[in-house]
Amino acid sequence: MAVVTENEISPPVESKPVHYLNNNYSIWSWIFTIDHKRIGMMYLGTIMIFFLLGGVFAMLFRIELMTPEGDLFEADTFNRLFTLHGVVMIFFFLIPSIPATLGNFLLPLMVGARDLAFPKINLLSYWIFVFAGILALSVLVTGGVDTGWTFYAPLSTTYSNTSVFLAVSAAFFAGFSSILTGINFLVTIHKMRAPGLTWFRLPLFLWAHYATGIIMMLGTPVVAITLFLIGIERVWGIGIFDPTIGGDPVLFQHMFWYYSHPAVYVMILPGMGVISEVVACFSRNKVFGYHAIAFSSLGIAVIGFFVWGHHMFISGQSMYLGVVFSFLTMLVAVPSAIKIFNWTATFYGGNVILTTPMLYAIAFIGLFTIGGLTGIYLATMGMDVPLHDTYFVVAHFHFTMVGGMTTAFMAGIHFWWPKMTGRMYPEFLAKLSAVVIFFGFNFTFFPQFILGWLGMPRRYHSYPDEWQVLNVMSTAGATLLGFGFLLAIGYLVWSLFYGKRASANPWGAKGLEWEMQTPPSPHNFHEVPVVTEEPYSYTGKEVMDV
Amino acid sequence: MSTGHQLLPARVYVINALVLGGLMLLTVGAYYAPLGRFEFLALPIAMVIAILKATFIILIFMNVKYSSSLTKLFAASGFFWFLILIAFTMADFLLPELGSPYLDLASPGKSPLP
Amino acid sequence: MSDTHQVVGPEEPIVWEQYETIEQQEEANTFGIWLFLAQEIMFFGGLFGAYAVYRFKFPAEFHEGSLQLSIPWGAVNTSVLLLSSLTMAMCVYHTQRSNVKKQINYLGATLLLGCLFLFIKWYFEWPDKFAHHLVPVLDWNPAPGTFTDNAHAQMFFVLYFIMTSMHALHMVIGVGIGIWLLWMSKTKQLGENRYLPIEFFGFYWHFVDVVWVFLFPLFYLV
Repeated sequence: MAVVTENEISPPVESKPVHYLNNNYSIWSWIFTIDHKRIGMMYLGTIMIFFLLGGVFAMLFRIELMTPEGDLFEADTFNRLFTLHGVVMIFFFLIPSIPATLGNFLLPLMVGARDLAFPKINLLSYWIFVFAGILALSVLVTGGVDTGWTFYAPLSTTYSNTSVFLAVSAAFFAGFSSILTGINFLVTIHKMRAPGLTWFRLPLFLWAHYATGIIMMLGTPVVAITLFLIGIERVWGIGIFDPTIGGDPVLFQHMFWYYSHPAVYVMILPGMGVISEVVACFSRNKVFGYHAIAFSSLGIAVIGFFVWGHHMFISGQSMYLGVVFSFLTMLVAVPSAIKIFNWTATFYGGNVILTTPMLYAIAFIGLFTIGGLTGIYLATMGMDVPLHDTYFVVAHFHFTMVGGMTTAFMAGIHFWWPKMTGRMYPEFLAKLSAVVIFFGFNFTFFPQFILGWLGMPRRYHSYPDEWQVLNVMSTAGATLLGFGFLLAIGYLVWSLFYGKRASANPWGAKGLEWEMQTPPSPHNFHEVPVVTEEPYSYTGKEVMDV
Repeated sequence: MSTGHQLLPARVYVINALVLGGLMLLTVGAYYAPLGRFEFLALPIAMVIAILKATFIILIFMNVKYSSSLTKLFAASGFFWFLILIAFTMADFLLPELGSPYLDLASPGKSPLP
Repeated sequence: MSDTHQVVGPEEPIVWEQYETIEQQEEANTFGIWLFLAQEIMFFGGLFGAYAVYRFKFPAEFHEGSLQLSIPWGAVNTSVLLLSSLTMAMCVYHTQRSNVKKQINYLGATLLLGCLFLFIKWYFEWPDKFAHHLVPVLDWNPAPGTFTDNAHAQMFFVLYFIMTSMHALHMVIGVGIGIWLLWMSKTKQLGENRYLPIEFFGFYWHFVDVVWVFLFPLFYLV
């Protein structure tokens, strides 16, 4: 057992325990906080706002897509809607989501430290993110942006009539925030582990965040400079991608996707970390193949930097280079598959308990597998020629990003909600919303695989009549999905005020974060814990205290 | 391991600076040197000298020679990751498209359009 | 410590709250600054990547463009930066030994050399480009016959101005931070128990020097 002092677990009954939420109620103590837990909660609030905003855009264009004609919005407006959906969801929800919320909150707790390595940089990272968010909102009030979240030149640099500069600036600063978070995570995991917490005793959540930090640190600067170049070409006409002076728009694509492909691993790796934790806890079993999962996380991070050309198979890229990228993309699927097999094997011989986080985790395993396998279709160059820029691609990345990443986010939020807030969410509503989300999700995106296969292009606001049925199904699913998420956000907010108070370890989980009071005290540990156990040392006799 | 614990004598820095100055003169000299048939080596030579200069700055002035393996690893990783970007991007422009009208190695910048 | 040696700055190293020991803090901080520099390598790397592509595509125009740059000034600037790296290293050297006066002198020298670099660039090199109408967007009107292909030659100058501006921006930021450190030195806050700020500033400064080490041959010596 980790050594903790008496006064951490059970404070005296008479006095209300001091924790990170109630130690200071003033607004300044939140604005200038260097407590990683508070920063994580602030990120959570901000990210949820952007998630809802991105969802609104999706709803709007899904309504348009119920009818084959482009009758609700003009094409230009439609372009702005899907662009804003992409920009908001990717840069302001998916990339920060788990690392900035759960990662910030849990990393020091899991590592046995009082805070991250650089708490003030953590705070700076949050306020840069907010600044980026304000820039993104200002894009909305200045007419939006219509280039697609991918900002391809020369549309973005020359021909678009929308707020491209503000949009790339927003993404630029969001990226800067991400880089600082990545640096913080890497240093904390390397240098601030508690005594006895060797690398192979780290929770897999931390391996995942370590790999994520590597990508954030090495990949994000490239997209930063790329967006910077778009910005200066747009504003001052300094034409680095301008064909009239020899510029090459495909160069933009190389530079853009060099980051944006690893970015999807930034999104999914933390989710996989969450799944490892949740699956272990609710199978009452140690994770099968710990080392394999740990090294797979690193493998995904490294190999992920070698595959970006699979976004560019039909861009005019060299066919021979395309073959190389295609092969490497097949390779990067292997570590992900290893993880899926290992999580499934973790169920075996365990005692599975179907709590809400576990429902989401099981959904993740199924939906991410489908998403990942359809990625193999797209990685095959010959298949990609008819499938590129169709709804098949859209369905693929939504299966991985929503069916995978967002589902994992929900799993993590529910799993650590009692620890973060001291409250339990209502279990029945949570399970209901998980089921609604699952069905809504599948109705939304599975038809899109079929639509893409049939040839429906993405980013089009009108389409031939024969595809209407599938589109209506997709929109109906999206509505259901929206209700599911709104229900979830609703009861989570409700639980903050009226939820049942949680004990320190309601799930009977293993991990340093569960051995401290709920919510954690401002400085986490009074004494640095000494770790003597292997991770996930479940005996099957742990008791839930829900 | 703290880098500062290795306190180098001042003359190491001065010698390093002199070496760098010498390399700079070599760079300029190599530019003017007549290479004749080996004109294509001009860029590689310049890059090798630049890499040498960078190496001396990094190892001595930035103390990497005496730093922990972790520092060395991450310093090197920055350059390695940059190489990934350059190598694959350049590969796109270097690899010939057999029979493609879009690549003419003799005049790479020429547009295939009339 | 001998009686004649005065410790400048804190008497003992100050350990921040989240760290257990000063060694852990120093290791973490050093690792952190190196990660920051690694990402800076990637930031400039994108620009060097673009340079590589366009140089490959337009070798002749890049050579012609390079002829318009002044190698003497470039060499002088390179020497200025190399010298500033030396003075920076000496500043760190003296900070580690609590020699405040020499610390301030060398830091000041470093910043002056940095400003000299910028001065040469902004008062000699760039105005010369304007005089010859070789500034993309603002004043692009090269004399006929200067280049075989005006359009592609412009790409050379686009890259030249973007990359040297980005480098200059980093120098300006460096000088700004350096002035703040100069104040810290003057107020005797930095010494043998607290020299990491100077050392890390030194890393940043050397890094900016390394970038120039590559910019010089790639633009001036094509």
